[in-house]
Amino acid sequence: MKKRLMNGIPILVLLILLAGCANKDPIGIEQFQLAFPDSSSSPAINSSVLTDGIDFSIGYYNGNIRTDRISLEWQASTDEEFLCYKIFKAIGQYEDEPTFEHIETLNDQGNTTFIDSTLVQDQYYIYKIATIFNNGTHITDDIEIKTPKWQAPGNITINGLSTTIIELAWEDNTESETGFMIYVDTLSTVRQFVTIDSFTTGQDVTSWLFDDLPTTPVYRFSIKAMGDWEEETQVSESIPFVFSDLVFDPPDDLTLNQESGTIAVILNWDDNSNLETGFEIERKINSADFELIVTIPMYNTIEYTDYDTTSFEYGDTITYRVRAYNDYQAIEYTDYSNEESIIIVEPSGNIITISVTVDSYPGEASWNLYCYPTSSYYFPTDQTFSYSYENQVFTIGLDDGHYAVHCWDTFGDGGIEGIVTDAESNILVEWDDNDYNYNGQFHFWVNQ
Amino acid sequence: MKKIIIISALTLLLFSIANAQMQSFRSIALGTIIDDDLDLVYDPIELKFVEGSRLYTNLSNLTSSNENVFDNVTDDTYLIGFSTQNPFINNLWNSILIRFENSLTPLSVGIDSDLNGSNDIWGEGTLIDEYTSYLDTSGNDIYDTIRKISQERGNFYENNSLDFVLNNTYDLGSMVLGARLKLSQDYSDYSEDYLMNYTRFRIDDNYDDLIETGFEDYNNIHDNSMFDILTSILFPDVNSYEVRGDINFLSMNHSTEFRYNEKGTTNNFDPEITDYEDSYVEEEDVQNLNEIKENRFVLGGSLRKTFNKAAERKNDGYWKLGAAINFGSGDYTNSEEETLTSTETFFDGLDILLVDYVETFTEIEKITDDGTQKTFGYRISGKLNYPLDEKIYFGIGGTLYYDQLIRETDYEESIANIEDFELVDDDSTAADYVITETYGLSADRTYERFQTTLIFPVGIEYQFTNNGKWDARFGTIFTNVYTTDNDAKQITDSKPYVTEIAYGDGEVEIDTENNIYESTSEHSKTTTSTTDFYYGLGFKPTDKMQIDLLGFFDVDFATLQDFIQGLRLSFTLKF
Repeated sequence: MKKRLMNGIPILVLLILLAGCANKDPIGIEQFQLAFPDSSSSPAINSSVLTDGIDFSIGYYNGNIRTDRISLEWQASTDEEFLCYKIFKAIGQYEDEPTFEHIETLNDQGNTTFIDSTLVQDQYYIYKIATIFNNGTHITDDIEIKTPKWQAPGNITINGLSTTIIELAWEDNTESETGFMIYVDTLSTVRQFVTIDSFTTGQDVTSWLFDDLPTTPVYRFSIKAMGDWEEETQVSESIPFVFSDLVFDPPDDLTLNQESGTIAVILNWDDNSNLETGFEIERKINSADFELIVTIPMYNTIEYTDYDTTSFEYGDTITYRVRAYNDYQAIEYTDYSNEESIIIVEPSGNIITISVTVDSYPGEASWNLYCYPTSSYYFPTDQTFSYSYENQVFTIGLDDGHYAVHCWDTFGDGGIEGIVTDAESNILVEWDDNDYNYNGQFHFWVNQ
Repeated sequence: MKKIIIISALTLLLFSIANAQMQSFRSIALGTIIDDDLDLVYDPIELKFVEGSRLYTNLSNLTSSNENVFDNVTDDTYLIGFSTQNPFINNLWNSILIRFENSLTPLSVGIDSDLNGSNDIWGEGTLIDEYTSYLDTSGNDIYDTIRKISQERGNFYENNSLDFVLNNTYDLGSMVLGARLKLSQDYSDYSEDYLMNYTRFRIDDNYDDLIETGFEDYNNIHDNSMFDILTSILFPDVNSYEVRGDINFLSMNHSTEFRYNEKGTTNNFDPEITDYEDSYVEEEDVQNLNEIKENRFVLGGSLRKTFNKAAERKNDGYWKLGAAINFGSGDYTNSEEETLTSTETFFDGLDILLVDYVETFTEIEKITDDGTQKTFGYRISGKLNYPLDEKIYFGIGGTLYYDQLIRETDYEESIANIEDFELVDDDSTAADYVITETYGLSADRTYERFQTTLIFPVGIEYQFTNNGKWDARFGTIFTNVYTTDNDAKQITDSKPYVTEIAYGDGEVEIDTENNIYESTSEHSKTTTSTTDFYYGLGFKPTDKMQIDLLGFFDVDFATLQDFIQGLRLSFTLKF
C-alpha cells in the first residue's frame, strides 16, 4: 500500500504540473461596428407642404416655397446620442449624384425647421437633411424643390375684336401668382398717362376683355403679377392704343398665278383690316356663279393656293374674289376685293394626278412626294389635313423617272389612303390607309 | 532503505518549500534548501523547536544581505529581532522583528533669480531668494524701474518604511498552535515645489505696472502596504510524522501616484488708466494614479517525516511534502487626468468698442482603466535534508508554483475642451464664440497572466574542521519560469473628435473627424531557465555567537583591503 502511494504521487504531481503549464490561447476579440440608426430615426422631411411629388404649387401657395427662400421642416430626432442636424444643398437638377454644399448646422434637437433665404427664382434645388450622432454616424432624407418663376408679364398685345371691343393678352411669367393687376391709363392733356381704372384677375389668366371703354382716348395698359408671398412684379406696359386704329376695310390687289407644274391657282391679296377674324374666298369657273370654296379662320392672311382643281379643264377661265369677316359677336363682312381671273393652261411634263384621303384623325397624318430624279421633295413643306376624311387631289406635271409618295402618321396606325394615276387614268400606284404604320413609301414610275 | 531514499529524493526533486521572506545566510548559501535558526523562529510552528533565545541586529545583515561591515555599506535601516520561550507563560514561544527606515533627503535645486531663463543660484533642499534690482531702462542714468522677485524652490526625496513581525507559538501538549502577524509599509515621495512673486515698479509713476505669481507642486509617490496574518497548527506526532495545516490572509495595497499642479498669474497695469485690466491666469493639474488593492487567502498543509533527529532541529534529517492553494480578488485602478484652465482678460479702460474681451480655456483629457482582478494559484513542494555523515549535510528539493491573474477593466478615453471668447459689450454677435471639442472611446480590457515556476535547489554543508566550528556551504538553484501574457482591448463604443463652434449670433459649426478605432489582442509567451550558484562560510567561535559569511569572492578586489571591505557578514547571538 505504501509502495503504491509512493508510485502514485509522482504521477499526480506530473498531471498537476502539466495542467499548470497548459498552453493559453490569445483572448478573442471582434470587429466593433458603430450602430447606424434605423429608418425610424430619419429626419423625414415634411414634403406634403411643399409638393405633391410632381408639382410645387402646394409650396408656392402656402408660402413654404418662394422665389428667394424655402421653409423646411422635418421629423425631430429622439435619439439620446443626437449631435446635430446638418443641412446640405445642391443647385440644379442632376442625373447623377448631386454636388451638395453644407449650408447650416443646428445643434438644438427640438429645432426642426430651417429657412434658406439665399435662393433665386425659377431654379431647382435639392436639400439633404442629415441627423448626426455622437459616434459620427448619420441618417439622411432628401427633397427636390423648384422656386417659382416670378417675372413681369410679357408680350402684351391688344387685339381688336370689334370696333368697340378689344382684348388685352399677355404672357404669364409667374408660377405662384394669385392674380394680375391691370391698369388702364389714358393720355392726359399734359401728354402723360394717368391711370383711370384698374382690374384684378385670377391666377393663370392671360387675357382681359374691354367692351365698354370710350373710343376716343389714347390708352395704355399696364400689367403686374401679385402673390400672397411675393413682392409684386415689375409693371409691363403695352404700346399706346387708340380705337381709331381699328379698321375693317375689304382686301384689294387680288392677283392670281397658276402653280408651276400643276393647275393649282395661287391667290395673293392685301389685307386692309385689323379686325378680321378670317377671310372667305369665292370662285367661279367660266361663266358659272361665284361659290364659296374656303373660309380661312385666320386673321392677317394674304395668300391661298387653290388645289381643288378636279373640276378644272385646260382653257377654263377661273375667277376669284376675297372678303374679310369678323364673327366676334355677329358675323360681319367687308366688301369683296377686286375680282381676278386666270386661264388654266396645261402644265409641262407628264400629267399625274395624286389623290389622297385621310382617315378620322387628320392631326396625325402628313404626306409629300419624293422625286428621285432631283433627290428632293416636290412640296417645300409636308402636306397636312384640316379635317376628317379630307380628300386632296393634285394634278401635276412630272418628268420621266422614279417617284414615291411618302406618308407619315405620328400615332403609328397609318391613316392616308391614296391613288396615283396618269393622264390616261392608268393607276400607277394605289394603297390603303392601313398599309403602313409610321411611314409608308409608295413608289411609281413615269414613262418607264 | 537505500531504494526508498532514492525514490524519496527523486520525488522531492519535484517539491520544495520556498517562502518569500527574510532568509538566513546559511539558507542563502545552501540554495534555500536548508534552514537556519532565523528561518525557523519566524515560522508559527518551527519557533517552538528552536531552543534558547536568538538576537538579530543590524550586524545580522538581514535587510538585503548586501551590507559590508568593513566598508560601512549599509541599507540605512534599523533592524532588531528577538526570539525566546516566554518566561511568564509556559509552552509559549515568541519572536519579534522590527525594521524601519526614515529618511528625508534634500536634493539639488536651482533658482533663476532674475527670471532671464537660466538658473544662477544653486542649493539643496529648500532655496529662498529675494531679488531686487534698480534699473535704468531708458539709458538716461536715472533709475526708472525696480524689479522685486521672491522665489522659493524645494526638492526632497522622502522614504519611510516599516516592517513588523510578531510570531507566537503555543504548545498544547497534543498539538502546537501558532500565529504570526506581519505588517509592512513602504512609502516614498519625490517632491518639488516652487513659489514666485514678481513685481515691476515704475519709479516715475510710483506705480506697479506688472505683477506675476507662480506656483508649482510636484509629487511622485509610491506607497505599498501589506497586512499578513498566518495561523498554523501542528497535529500530534505519529511515528515521527508531522502533519501541519496553515491558513493565511493577506491584504495588499500598492499605489504609484504622480501629481503635478502649476498655477501662474500675470497682471499688467497702466498708471494712466484707472480701469485698465490686462491679466492672464493659468492652472494645470496632472494626476496619474496606478493602484492595486487585493485580499488573498492561502490554505496550505504539509507532511514531515524526521528520520534522523539532531541536537538542533535545523540539522535534522527529514523529508517534507507541502501544498498550498490561494484565492485572491481586488480592485485595479489606472487613471491619467490632465486639466488645463486659463483666463485672459483685457479691458482698455477707454470704452473703445471691440477691444475688451474675456477668453477662457478649459482642457480636460482623461484615461481611466478601472476594474477588478482575481488571482488563483497553488504550490506543491518537497524537500529532503539528509545528513550524509557527521560532517556533511545535504539538502535537495523542488517546488512548483502556478499563479494566474485575470484582470477585467473598463477602459475609457475622453477629451473635453472648451474655449469661450467673449467681447465685453452688450451684444452677442458672431465675434463671440464658444468652441467645444469632445472625443471618447470605451473598451473592455482584459489582462491575463499565467505563470508556472519550477524551482530545484540543492545544498551541501561541510564541516571542514575537526572542532566543528567551521562550515563550508555550497548551493545552487535551478529556476524555470513559463509565462503567458494576454492583453486584449475590445472596443465597445467610439465617439470621434468633434469640434463645435457656437457663435454669439446663434450660428453653429460642427466638424466631425473620421472615426477610427482598433480592437487589439496581444499574446506573449516567455520561458526562462536560470541556474544560480551560492556559497558561504559559517563560523561558531563560541556557543553564544554565530558568524556567517556569504559570497565573499563575488566582488572584484585588487588588494586585501578590498577583499576585507567586500565581505558580507552576519552575526547572530544566542542565549
